[in-house]
Amino acid sequence: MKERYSLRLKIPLQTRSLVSLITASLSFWVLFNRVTSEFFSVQLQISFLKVVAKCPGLPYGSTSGGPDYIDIAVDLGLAVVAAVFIALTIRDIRRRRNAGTVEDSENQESDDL
Amino acid sequence: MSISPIGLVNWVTTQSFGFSNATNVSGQQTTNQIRLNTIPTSNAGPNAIISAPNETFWFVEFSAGKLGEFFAQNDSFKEFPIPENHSIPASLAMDRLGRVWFSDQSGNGSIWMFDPETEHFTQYNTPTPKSTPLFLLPDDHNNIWFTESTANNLGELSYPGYKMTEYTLPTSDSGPVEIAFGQNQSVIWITETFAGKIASFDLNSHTFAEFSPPSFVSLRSPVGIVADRFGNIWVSEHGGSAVIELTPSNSTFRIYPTSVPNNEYSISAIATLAIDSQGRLWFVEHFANKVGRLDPITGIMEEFQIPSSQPAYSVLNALDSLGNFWFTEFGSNQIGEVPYNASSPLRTSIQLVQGSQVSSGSTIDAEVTITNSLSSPISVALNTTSSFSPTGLTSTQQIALDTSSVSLPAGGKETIGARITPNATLPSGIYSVGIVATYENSSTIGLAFISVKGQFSFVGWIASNYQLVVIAVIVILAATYLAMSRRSKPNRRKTNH
Repeated sequence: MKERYSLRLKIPLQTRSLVSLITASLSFWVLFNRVTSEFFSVQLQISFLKVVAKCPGLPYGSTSGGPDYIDIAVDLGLAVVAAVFIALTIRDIRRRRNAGTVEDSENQESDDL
Repeated sequence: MSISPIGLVNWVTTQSFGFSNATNVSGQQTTNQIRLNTIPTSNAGPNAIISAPNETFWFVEFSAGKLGEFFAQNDSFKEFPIPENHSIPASLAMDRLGRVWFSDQSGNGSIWMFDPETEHFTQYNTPTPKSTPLFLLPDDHNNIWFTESTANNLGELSYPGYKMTEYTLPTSDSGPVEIAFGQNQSVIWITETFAGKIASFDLNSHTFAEFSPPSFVSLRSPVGIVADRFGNIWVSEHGGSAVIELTPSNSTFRIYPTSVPNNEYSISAIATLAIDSQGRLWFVEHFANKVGRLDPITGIMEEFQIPSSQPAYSVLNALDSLGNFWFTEFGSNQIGEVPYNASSPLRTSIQLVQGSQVSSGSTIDAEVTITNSLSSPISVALNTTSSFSPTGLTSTQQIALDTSSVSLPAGGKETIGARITPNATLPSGIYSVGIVATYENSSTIGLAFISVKGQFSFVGWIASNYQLVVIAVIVILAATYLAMSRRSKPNRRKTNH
């Protein structure tokens, strides 16, 4: 008994690869934008606190607030999605290559026959 | 404890504007001068100043731990070291008995009383530790009200026994800094610098109320606060570039932006306000190193460049009996004075051509008229400011002027066109636009208010929520991928050979 992939798998694999690649790219892009904007936001906040520190007598920054858990969760989620879809893209590309190799060898066999 | 004055120094520097002794169109002589007096102790860090009778001024030396007295009649100083090591006097006030009260931010925080007659200091520690007391406000009954900026309290020292009571503000860690009496001393108004709110404290019921700004007002780090004779509350935005008016009866806010300095800070950072008998608001723009004056009746703001190298800063300024404005310069170690009649030779006005209502993203035209009151032709630089952004920075897309400079004949005027386009994403509200006309060391800002109607724009919504949109697209793509994976699972065929 021999198992082999059907020929119609080739087109969905290409589409799936494209979808997973776009998903990974978008996730990474949003993550990058969020991280850079958060970085610059922190820098702005630090510079603002430095500005306030140049104002003797006025209280220096607020002690309220804390980590923004929702934003951290969104960032982590985006990082996971980006990583998973990068892995899926690589897997699909490999599968497509393997499928192509099988098809080529089948074609070669039929040519030999 | 009695402390003797350690210095009596006479050292005055006088610097004048470029337009001093100018004659305006009405023939009135203006003598616009900022006088600067250097404090005898070097790097004393003068932080706050008050006016006392007989042309005397009291100020605190934040870095030197001293209380200072300045005699304007002969430009001389007296200094009184505070009898505690490393004391940090931040602000001060004088009660009806002529005694000077000041806040001390060293240690856990305290309030001091200094009697000028006996030269005796008395200290009152705050019950809450690390309270960082700042602003003081004596009432007509000689009770002393003060803020504990990091303890989130309004404090009271009750005359005559000076028992200390603390009232905690409703918003936690709100950062109460400056206080002012409302009409009839029945209410104390408080700026909450961390919370970005304005609070009021009812002196009869001892209850607080808070005013939060609407979405179109940023109110970044409010510090200075005064009440005018109409009951309106004026607040300075220390984390921005504006003076903001609150009308408590209907909770409406109006923004009066200053010019925006072209330096690393990009905000003017007004720390404190003083209001004169004409209802004009005086202030120092910390990061612009200017003295500003807003006349709410005419809607004109004037700015005078301070001739010192360090940016001027103080947490409390004063007006003397004649209406002259006095301020301290922390960095330059000086006390400055601007005469009550200082004025810019320019007048700027904005006329909105199609009315004052506009939809966000739409453009309205305006005519800007600049008038020269000098008897000589001048060239004027033009700039813009607005409340379209929290810092006052205004792009040429938001306000486009026909020209960035204009030449004015002696006593003449010029009108130029301007196109005002509020951002498409701005929420509805009353916004302000200003045209800044600068000649040498002074500026005049003509202000106009426009009612912007925020309208829903799909493109604008996408632009302002693009991350949310892209995340939704990611979710859809991920679901599509999973669906495709399920549909196209390897179609395993059994082939018998």
